[in-house]
Amino acid sequence: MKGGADGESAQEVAQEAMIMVWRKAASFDRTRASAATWIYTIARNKRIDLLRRTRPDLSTEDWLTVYAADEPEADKSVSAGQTYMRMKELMQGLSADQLLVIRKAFFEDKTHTAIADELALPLGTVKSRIRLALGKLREALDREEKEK
Amino acid sequence: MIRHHAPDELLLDYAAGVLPEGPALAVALHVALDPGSRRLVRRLRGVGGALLDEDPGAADVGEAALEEALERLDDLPDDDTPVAPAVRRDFAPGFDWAPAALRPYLAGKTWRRAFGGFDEIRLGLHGDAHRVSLLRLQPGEGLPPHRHVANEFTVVLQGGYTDNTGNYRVGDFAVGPGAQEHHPIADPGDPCIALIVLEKPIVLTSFWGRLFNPLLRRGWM
Repeated sequence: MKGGADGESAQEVAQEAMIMVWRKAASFDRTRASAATWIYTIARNKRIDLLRRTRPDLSTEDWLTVYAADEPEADKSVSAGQTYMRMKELMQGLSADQLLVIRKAFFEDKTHTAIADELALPLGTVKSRIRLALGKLREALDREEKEK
Repeated sequence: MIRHHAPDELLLDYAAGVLPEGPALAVALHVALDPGSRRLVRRLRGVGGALLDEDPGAADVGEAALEEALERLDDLPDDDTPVAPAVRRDFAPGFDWAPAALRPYLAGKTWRRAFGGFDEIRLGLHGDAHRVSLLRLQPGEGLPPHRHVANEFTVVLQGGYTDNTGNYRVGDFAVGPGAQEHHPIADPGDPCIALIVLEKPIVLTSFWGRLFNPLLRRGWM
């Protein structure tokens, strides 16, 4: 998670995230999310917070409404923990090519356009890998939710 | 019922938090209005966690950083520092159609009549080369025919419009038709309000429009 422009700010984000995880560990609610998702979200929000410093007129809360418009919403019938375990299984069903692209988006802070450049692949190829991967996840999870 | 969803690759970029502010705002507004995309983004956040859990090295920050963080922890007081309450800025009435994610950008803004017979609010974004505007078109009014030289994202926030690629209503997300020319016209009913995120200036394709292109390129219009 190398958010921010340079190595130093990435370290700053990582450190602040670690401090936050340490201090908030007691309030972590296992029934709502897995620890990894929780830590990931904290680190991500820290990074957004760092970006925000270039816009002092917007509060952190405002930034989070831009970058997390989907949260919070009442949980569906499936608990977050269950979905998470299932997510890990589903990820194993993806091809190496598909996983590589998703991994780069999450951990190397690259947009799909930047990923295509880096891998010297046509943009269309990267898009179709993402669409195939997300299509698989969506289809499997939708089917399971319907069965409940 | 949303009929035009943001493409998966853009939702992935958004969920991973890698989009620049302009496109992130466009996707955020779409996600706020489209339960299907919202569900996908929430699941993708789980993917981020699943990957981190599987391969903690992916987020490796190095020994030194860990030690420094632990030292900083020692220096912190035990209790949680109180979080400063967010300052809520008032914005002019008439923006009740605006989803929450858009509101911070509307402080002190008013509609301005733009060249081409529509109203515009230019949103100021720092450190982002995208041109981000809200456009308002009265029913039956259209934008001058134009084509794009780069990415354009549109999210409809009120009313609807139709062009040669289809009909777009509240929550719908359109990715600019690229080099293809388009000529959007607002549907009957409420005025059409949409957020438009442009990577580069548009190119007007009518005779008069071509005359104005140099000004558009300089950002004067």
